[in-house]
Amino acid sequence: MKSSDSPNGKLKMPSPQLQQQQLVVAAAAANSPHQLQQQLQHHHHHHQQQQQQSQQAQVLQPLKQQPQVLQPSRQQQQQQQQHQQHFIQHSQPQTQQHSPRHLQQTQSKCHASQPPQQHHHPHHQQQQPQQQQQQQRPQKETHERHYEFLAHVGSGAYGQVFKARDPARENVVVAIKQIRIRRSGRSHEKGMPMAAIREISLLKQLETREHPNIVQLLDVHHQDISDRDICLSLVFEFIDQDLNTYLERCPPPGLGPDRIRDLMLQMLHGLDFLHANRIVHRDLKPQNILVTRSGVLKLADFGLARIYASDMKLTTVVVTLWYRAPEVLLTGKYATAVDTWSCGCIFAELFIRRPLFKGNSEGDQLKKIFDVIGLPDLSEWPESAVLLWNSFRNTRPPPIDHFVPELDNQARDLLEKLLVFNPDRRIIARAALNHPYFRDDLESIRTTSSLSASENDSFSDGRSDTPVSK
Amino acid sequence: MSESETRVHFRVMRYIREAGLKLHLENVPIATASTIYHRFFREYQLKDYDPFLIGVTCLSLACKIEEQNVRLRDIINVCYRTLHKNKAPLEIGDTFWQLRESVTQCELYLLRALKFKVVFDHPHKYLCHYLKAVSDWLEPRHWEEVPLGRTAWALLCDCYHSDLVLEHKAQHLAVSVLYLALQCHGLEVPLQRQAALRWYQVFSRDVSLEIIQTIITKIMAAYDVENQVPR
Repeated sequence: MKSSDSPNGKLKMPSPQLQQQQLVVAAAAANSPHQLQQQLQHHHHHHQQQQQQSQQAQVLQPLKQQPQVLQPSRQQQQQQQQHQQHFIQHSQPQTQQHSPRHLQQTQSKCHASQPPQQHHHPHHQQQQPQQQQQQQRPQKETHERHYEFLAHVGSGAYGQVFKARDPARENVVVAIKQIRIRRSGRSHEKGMPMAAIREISLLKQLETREHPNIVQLLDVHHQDISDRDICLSLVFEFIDQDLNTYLERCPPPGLGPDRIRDLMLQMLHGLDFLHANRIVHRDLKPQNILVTRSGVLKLADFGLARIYASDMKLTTVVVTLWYRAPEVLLTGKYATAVDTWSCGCIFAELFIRRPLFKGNSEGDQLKKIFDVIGLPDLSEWPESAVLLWNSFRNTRPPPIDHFVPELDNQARDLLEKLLVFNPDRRIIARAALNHPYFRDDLESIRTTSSLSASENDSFSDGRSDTPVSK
Repeated sequence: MSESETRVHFRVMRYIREAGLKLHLENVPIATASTIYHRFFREYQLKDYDPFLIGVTCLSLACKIEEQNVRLRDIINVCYRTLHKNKAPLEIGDTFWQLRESVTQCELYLLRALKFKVVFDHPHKYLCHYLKAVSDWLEPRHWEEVPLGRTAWALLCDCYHSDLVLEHKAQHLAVSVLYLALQCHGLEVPLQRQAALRWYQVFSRDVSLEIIQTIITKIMAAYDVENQVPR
C-alpha cells in the first residue's frame, strides 16, 4: 500500500463498492464471457462516475488541508478488472476440456480478488436488484466506509499507523493500523497466516463486550497487495496520548500515589479481561498503554505481537526488551504471566518515571533484572534456558525500595509479587486486583489527578525506607 | 430455504466430512468448517457461489482456526479426489494452481464476509463432560454394553449436516443428542422420579424438554434429507 503506486498520490484502501461490484462480476462470470464483458464495461463506467463524485466531494469539503480519501485508484481498478478478464478467457478452454461443472464454476467464480466489505443486506450480492441498488446508492453509500486521512501517526516494526476520520460514524477519529503480512516462504503456504486469523478472530470476539480499559477494534480490512503480501488494516478508536508521553508531560514531583493506584487498577482490570478471554498481550509497555484526557487507561496492541512475530525476525528494528519477562528472555515461551511481569515493570516506572530495567541486550536485561530481584535458586532455572544459571552473578540485592523509593508497604508487596522470577508463582491479574493495595480507599481513587499534593502522603507513611527482610 | 437448496447443502456437508476424514482431521475442525459454511450461506445466496469451492475453503480455514497443520496442497488434492471419484488424481499443473489460487482468494473472502468472527463454541466439549457424568449415573453393566458415547458422538457430528447448529446453544445441542442417544438405546437415567431436577437441567439450567424436542425434530429432519440425497 504505497501511496506512490497511485497516480494521484492517494492512499489506497479497500473500497466497499468496488469489491462488491467485482463480486457481482465474478458471480456473473459463470454465465457467459460475453455477458461478463458487458458487465465489466458497465461497472467500469460506474466506477468513473463514482470516482468523479468522490473527487467532487473532496473539493467541496471546507477543510484547510486537502483530505485524502482512502480509496483505490482508478488504475488499480482497471488492473484488477483486466486481470479478471484475462483469467476468465484463459481458463475457458481448459474447463471445457477436462472439467465437469463444479470445477468450471470453481475456476470462474472464485476470482473475486477483493472480498467485499460485508454489508448487512445480503441482496447486495444478487444480480437482479442491481438496478435499484444503483439508483439508491449515490450519496449515502459513496461516503460509507471511506476513511478520511488526517495524519501519519507513526511507523513501527510492523507497519504504519494513520489517524483518520470516519464520516460514516459522525466523523469519529480512528487510528488505522496497517500491518503487512508476509506469507511465509518456507512452506509456500498461501492465504492468511494461521496466527493472524486466530488473533483477529479472538479480538473480534471482544467487540461485543466493550471493556473500558481495552482499546476498541472497530473494523478489519484486508487486501492482497502482491503475491507475497497481505495488507491488514485494523481500525481502532483513536487516543492521542500513551502512558510514555503521559509520564513525560507529568511535572517533576511525579504522579501522586492515588493516581498511580488508579492507573494500576485500570491496567490490571484490562489485563484480567484479556487473560479471561484467552489473549496474551505479549508486548505490554508504556507505548502500548493509552491514557485519555479524562484519565481512562486503555490497553492497545494486544495480541498483535503474534501476528507480526514472524516478520519481526526479518526486520532490523530494535524491539524493546525492558518489559520482557525473564522466562521469555531465557526460553522464548509465552503465557499470561509475561504480561503481569510487564505490569510490574510499568508499576515501578510509574513511581520512578524511567524504566526499571534498561537492558541493551538479552543477557544485559537479565543481569539488570537479577540485580534487583536477585538470582533465583538453581532449582527454579528453566531446563530449556538458553543461558546458564552460573553465568550470572549471585549477589544479594538491596531491598526493592532502593530502586523504587516512595513505595508504601502494600505497593511494595504487590510489586514484589509481580516481579517474581518463576512465572508459575507470579501473581495473576485477577488475584492482583484483590491485593490489599487496592483495597484501602477504593472510593477516592478515581477522583484525583493530584500530582504534587499527595507527594508527601507516601512519606507520611514513614515506613517506605524500612528495609525488607528477605 | 428451498428443499433443493437443503439437499445441496446436505451434499456439500457430506463432502466436507468425507474430505475431512480423509485428511485425518478431528471432529472439531470439521465442525468448525461446517459452521463457517452454514454461517456463510445463511447470509449469501447459493446461486451466486459454487458451494463446493466454499466447502473446500471452509475446510482450509477451519484447519487454520483450530491450529491443525494441514497443507493446502493436501486439502486440494484430497478434495479434488473426493469430488471426482472417477478421475485420476490431480497433477501439479495449471488446474492445481488455479484451484489453489481460488481457495486462497476465497479464504480471504470468507473471512471478510464473516467479519473475522470465526471462533465458535462447539457442543463437543460439553458432550464429553455430560457423558462422563452419565457414565457415573448409569449402571456399570449398561454403560459397558451399550455404545452410548459413540451413538451420541455420531449424532452430534451428523447435526452439522443442517444449519440447526447455528440456531441453538452448544449446551442445548449436546444435551439433545445425549437425550436422543439414550432413547435410541432404550436407556433411562436412574432415579429421575426422586430427583428435584431433570437430568438435563443439571447440565444446562435453561434447557427445557420443549427445546430438546425441537432440536431432535430437526435432527430427524436432517436424516430424512439423507434419504432424498443419493450417495
